[in-house]
Amino acid sequence: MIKITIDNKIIAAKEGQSVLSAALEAGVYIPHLCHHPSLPDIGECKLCIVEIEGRDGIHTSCTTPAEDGMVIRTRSERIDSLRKLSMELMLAGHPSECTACPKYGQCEFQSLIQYIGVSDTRLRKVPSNNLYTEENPLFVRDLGRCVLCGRCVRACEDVRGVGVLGFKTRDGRTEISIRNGGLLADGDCRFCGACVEVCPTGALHDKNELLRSYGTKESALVPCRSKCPAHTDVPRYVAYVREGDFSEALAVIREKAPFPHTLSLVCMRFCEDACRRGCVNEAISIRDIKRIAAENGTDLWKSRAKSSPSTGRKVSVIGSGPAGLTAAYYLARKGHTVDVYEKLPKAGGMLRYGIPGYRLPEEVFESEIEDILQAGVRLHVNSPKTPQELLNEGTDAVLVAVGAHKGIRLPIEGNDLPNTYTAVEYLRNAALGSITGLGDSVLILGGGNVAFDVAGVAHRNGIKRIMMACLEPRDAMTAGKEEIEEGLGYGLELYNGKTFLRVVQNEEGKLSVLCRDVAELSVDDSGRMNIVPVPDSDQWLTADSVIFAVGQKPELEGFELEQNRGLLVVNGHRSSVEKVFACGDSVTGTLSIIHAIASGREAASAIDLYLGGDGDISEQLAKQESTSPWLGRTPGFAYKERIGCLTCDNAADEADRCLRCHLRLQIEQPKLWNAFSESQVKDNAM
Amino acid sequence: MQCNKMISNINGIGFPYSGERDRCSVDYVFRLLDQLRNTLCGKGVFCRDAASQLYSIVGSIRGGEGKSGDVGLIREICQASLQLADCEMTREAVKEILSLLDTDGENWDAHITRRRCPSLSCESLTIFYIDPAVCDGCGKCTDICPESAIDGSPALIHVIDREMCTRCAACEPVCPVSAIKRADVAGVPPKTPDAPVPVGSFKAEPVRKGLRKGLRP
Repeated sequence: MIKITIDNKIIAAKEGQSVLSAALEAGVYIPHLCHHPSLPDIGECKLCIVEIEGRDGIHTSCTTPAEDGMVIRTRSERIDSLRKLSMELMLAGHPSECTACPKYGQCEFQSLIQYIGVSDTRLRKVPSNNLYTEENPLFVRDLGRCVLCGRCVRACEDVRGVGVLGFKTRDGRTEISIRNGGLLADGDCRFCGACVEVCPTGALHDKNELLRSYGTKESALVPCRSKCPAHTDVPRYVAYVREGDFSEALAVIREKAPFPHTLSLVCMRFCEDACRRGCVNEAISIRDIKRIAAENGTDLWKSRAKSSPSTGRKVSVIGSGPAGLTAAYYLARKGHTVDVYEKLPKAGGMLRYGIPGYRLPEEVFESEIEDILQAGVRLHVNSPKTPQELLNEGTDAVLVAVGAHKGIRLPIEGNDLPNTYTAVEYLRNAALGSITGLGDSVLILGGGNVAFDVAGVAHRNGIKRIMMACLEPRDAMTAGKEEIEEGLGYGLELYNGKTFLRVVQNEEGKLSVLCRDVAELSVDDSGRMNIVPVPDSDQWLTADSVIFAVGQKPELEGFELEQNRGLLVVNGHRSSVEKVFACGDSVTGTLSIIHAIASGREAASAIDLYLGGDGDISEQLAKQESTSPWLGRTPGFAYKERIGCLTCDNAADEADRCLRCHLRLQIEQPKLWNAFSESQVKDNAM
Repeated sequence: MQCNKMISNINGIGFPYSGERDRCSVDYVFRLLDQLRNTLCGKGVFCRDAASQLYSIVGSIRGGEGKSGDVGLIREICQASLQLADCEMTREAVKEILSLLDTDGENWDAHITRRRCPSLSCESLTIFYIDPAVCDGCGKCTDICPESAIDGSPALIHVIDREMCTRCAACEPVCPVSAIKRADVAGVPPKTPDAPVPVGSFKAEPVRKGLRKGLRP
């Protein structure tokens, strides 16, 4: 161990460590600007200068390796005046006002101005490059605030190996320039954000509007992970697919969800909506990358799954959809005895009875359910149960995860005429193999994903004319863009902006729905929808059958649990009755599979805690290796187009489009002087 | 990413700067600093920001806007750069500046306290005029003037509009008869025609050598 003396204080240093790093680590503050804990040192700002006993001159402590027995002074008249002059020289080219800067209060330069105590009055103001530009995606460049510390250049070149940024002198002024001179994208920037992260001033900063809706910096910077309801570690499995290690990738997904293959086909992919690459050109195909991992990964994860000894406690789950089975899986892993009761003939809930087989083949979710049963979960089909019955049978906890399987009919005249159905009925019948005869034409009321599932099944069952009418204008429909396009592709007739008044049956047995155009649609604070119709716009849409796809609610007859607007009321997944918990769509209303899985995980954790466990259901199924910060240069990176249908061969290319935003979180946060102990700072303040 | 202008690069860019240092040390230092700031790699504070700051200070001295503490400030910055600049080129330049402050202090003082350039080198401190006794009306100065500040036609004595003239000195070297001359901005301006007149017709006395001499410090 090396020992050095700084300002009469003896501190320890590691072999090869610089005097500055050793000092900062030991809590001794030496002012510095171009030094950053995650970057190589260059010793160019000269703020960290010190005197070393027995050596001539002045030395930058960031570039001086600590040697045993060194005696160092960080303050002297000479050091103080040179340090002050260095700050004044940098300040001469920097704007005087701070308050308008987005870094105000967190600016390292501002903090140094206060610590060293300088003003810009002694020297001449030197004009700087005042380029301010928002024309690059994700980042704002405000060169007027740049102090040329070169951290961004080193982050880009030495840490990431990309080398987009460099020093350039033009017309007597030095500036940080972009390779090829223009936009970051044209300089082969990979938009990793390392430059922004290390910038001490407001010269490089994130576009605020991208960050505002997130709670923490981490969630804002890695939105694919934070916007996933289950917080699946997207960057990590994308990285494994890039390396061709599909088994590790699958294990990463498995850490948060027991239905990776299912999700890889039908997830609503909140991750892709949030993907920061979407601001550069197009989001990466995260769901399809997941599919490649799910299809090609092995059972490697199973050997790393953790099992706990039996607790002797019994948990009963009502409902075998994604929420109930997810909870059952983790509860079984925690050592509880878990029984799942399913009312219908087969397990899967909406996976089986709501999502058409052409989108989600049953063998996909069946094999994933098989994995869950292998973990010790017992399944009872054709077993409708109420919580009270199960409690009477002596179970220790009940989880209600019945989903939302009751289709809603619009409260209009004629909504129960023959040949009117709800989407749930229709899709369930299709899944059970009992074809609902719709006639030659069908009118679907509603414009969400379920409405398009209905249309898709009807189309595949040979219905000639498929019409869809919904309240929302085309651009506000809740269905996915791809679903809408697919529907229009097979000839679906889409009527947007309609409100419905009544259904009547004519003499031939056909159904006609009276529609009226919507002029204005708004939702007030209490969630009530206000519809302003267009006067004299009544019209009839006629078909052999009508299907309501306007929402679903849970079937809770005989459950005797507190409800609000048809949904179960819970507090931390606990219902109004002791020992009874609830999760999934029956609590939240219809959301998505990944929401149901996330809810199932939370409920499992809550029940485990309730039964005396630690509530920790986290697992480490994939290797946790440190990710290399090196990216390397890829010509034309920003322009690489999204690859649609992935194969094992091109999945790595698509995964390589990832901006690897998560690497930015590895970059250390420099500590400002006020983070050091008060007494030391007081001794040293100039 | 270290400083990349080591000693081996110096000769390549012509340091020590070989401008006409005998004429005016302020003007010489100004041009030297301009070359320095354009040649630097730009990484170090005591090269980049020091050169910009010195250029700015010397530029204002050369433009007649120097302040009393400026020489002290230049010395302080040069001495700091001599100690701390990583760039050999910068250190050579500031050494040169320090030595000129020592050997030619009077000249710097004249610029700062009296706003005069004794050798009429600093353009901002001089007036350009065309000596009516010498001008042969060839028109080459009119052609080259970027501001169109010189009035005249063939065989007429050309006249510089002092309001429009930016003292860029572009006309000076093109005159085949050396009729473009400099006068001290703070002195009595020499008499010239108000508008172009035929060559040989301007009878007023040409600028007397004595007057110009008399204005010298």
